[in-house]
Amino acid sequence: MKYRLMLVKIGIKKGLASKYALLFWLFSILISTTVQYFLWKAVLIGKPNREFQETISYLVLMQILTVLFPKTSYELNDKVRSGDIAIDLLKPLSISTQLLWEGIGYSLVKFAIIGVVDMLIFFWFLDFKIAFSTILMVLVTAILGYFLYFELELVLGTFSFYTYSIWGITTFKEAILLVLAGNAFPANFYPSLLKKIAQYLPFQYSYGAIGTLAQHPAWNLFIKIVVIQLIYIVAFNLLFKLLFKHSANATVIQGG
Amino acid sequence: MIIETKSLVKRYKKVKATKLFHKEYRDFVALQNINFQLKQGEHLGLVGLNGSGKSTLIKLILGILQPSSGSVRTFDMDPLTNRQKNAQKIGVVFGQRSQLRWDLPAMDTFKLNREIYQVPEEIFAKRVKNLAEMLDATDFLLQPVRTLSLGQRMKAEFIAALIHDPDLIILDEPTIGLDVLSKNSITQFLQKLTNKTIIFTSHDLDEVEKVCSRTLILSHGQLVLDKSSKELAKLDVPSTVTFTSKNSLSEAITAKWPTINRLENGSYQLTGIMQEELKSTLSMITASVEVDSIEVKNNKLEYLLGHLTKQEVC
Ligand SMILES: Nc1ncnc2c1ncn2[C@@H]1O[C@H](COP(=O)(O)OP(=O)(O)OP(=O)(O)O)[C@@H](O)[C@H]1O
Ligand SMILES: [Mg+2]
Repeated sequence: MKYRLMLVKIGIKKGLASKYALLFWLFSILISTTVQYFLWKAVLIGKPNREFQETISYLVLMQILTVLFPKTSYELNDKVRSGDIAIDLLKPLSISTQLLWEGIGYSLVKFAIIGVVDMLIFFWFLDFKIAFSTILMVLVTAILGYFLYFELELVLGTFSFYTYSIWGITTFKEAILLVLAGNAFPANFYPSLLKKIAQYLPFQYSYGAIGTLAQHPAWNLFIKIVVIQLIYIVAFNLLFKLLFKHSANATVIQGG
Repeated sequence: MIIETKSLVKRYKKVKATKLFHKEYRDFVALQNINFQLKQGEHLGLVGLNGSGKSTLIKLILGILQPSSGSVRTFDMDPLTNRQKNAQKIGVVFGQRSQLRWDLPAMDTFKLNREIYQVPEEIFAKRVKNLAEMLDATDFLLQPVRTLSLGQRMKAEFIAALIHDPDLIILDEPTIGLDVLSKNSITQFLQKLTNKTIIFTSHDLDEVEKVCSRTLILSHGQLVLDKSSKELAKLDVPSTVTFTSKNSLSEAITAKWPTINRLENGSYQLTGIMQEELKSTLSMITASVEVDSIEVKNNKLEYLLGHLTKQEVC
């Protein structure tokens, strides 16, 4: 209803308040993209240009997702550590709803400042040759991937109730993302065992699977990914509710 | 009954010692056997020194902390499982926390609360206008919260907490760090809310007496006093009289009060004057020395805490 819209608006305003920070982020992304461009050009020397194009555009797509996905675990961690979570808990609205919609607003600003530029680069690397159906498939799975990633972040953030610092856990997450989510390089470069494992990991369905779909669009793959994403979203949502209920009751709100 | 507690106890685990790889804990009783009831329309002051358990009690009432034993009911419901339901009827201001978004004008938070609590547009506009006028807060609601002074922010905080016209208003040290004028405008404002139930915590008994119809005093997690403010005002607490004079004291005075104290700054101080002697004491002083200034003070809280814990009054 309308409160969602208002939360999105607040997220947008918050994003706009940090627009210069986002601009710097854009520059750093442009630099790292340039580096990756030459790196993969060297790695894939002697291979057909098509493969290079696929790889580099895949990586840019992963970068777009990394930028747009929310950092909810940190937000939750901050709130738990400072005790400010008390304020959110005392609203007649669940904390996940507040975080989700405000996060979407913030992501919209990130999209406007960084995502659009990154997307032009993506299309440019593909010589602007991409089917409309592919765009549609990627868009749908990316949105579902966003929700899935959000749920995963919520679950991670919930650990703050027990450890008060989730630095260790999030570092572990970054490592998984780097290696097993297909975030740093496409899954077809993996050894087959790792590829098998990666296939079942939830993070894969926020990143790698979407990239694979962009490279090799097919409706049956699309449907498979969407189904798995939905299953994971529901599962992690339930897990979060369970964990949060337990932790918010059994642990202590700090400060005061 | 808006709030009812029965033998309410809260224990925390406190760190006793930190070893290299593990910590040793001991149980610490933050609230011990608290029993009280709060009726619709009462203004309850919750007073106690630092660490006496005020915030802990408030968290239990709000359902963001689980009791170790005993029970607490807020709006006749278990606050823990009905937290979101009760939230619609409760407004909270924590002096040391903020619900306002740091980078945005306070008005944006008000609007967000309007949607969350589903306040109709016209009623919202009227309420903001009213509250802002009462708190003298009309001219800074559109500037980013980070540019507000502490007092201005607290006023905005009050408006944000009251936008949904809650029945129960819970204020945990809302006047912390405010100057006298801001404190006064907030206490005056709270006095006007006669149809609301209020819980107000503070270290300052005088402030609480102004706002509240009834006062609870907590000491080391125990409820040591539960009295109406009228009774509390009548309580005979010895006062301290401080005065300054250019002349030295006459013999009559030093004979009557051998305990008179000369302070570092040159003024004189008499302690432990009971209510019935106060008048005669003051006239005696003013009659026998040329007084430049004179001040009467009583530190009720300190006195009560010292005496109540010894006698275990309630
Ligand atoms: N999370 C916690 N873990 C362990 N002990 C705690 C915790 N929270 C509070 N305490 C202890 O419980 C006691 C009561 O704390 P509380 O915050 O209720 O005091 P208070 O009356 O609000 O004090 P103040 O006036 O300083 O705000 C204190 O001794 C405090 O150290
Ligand atoms: Mg406190």
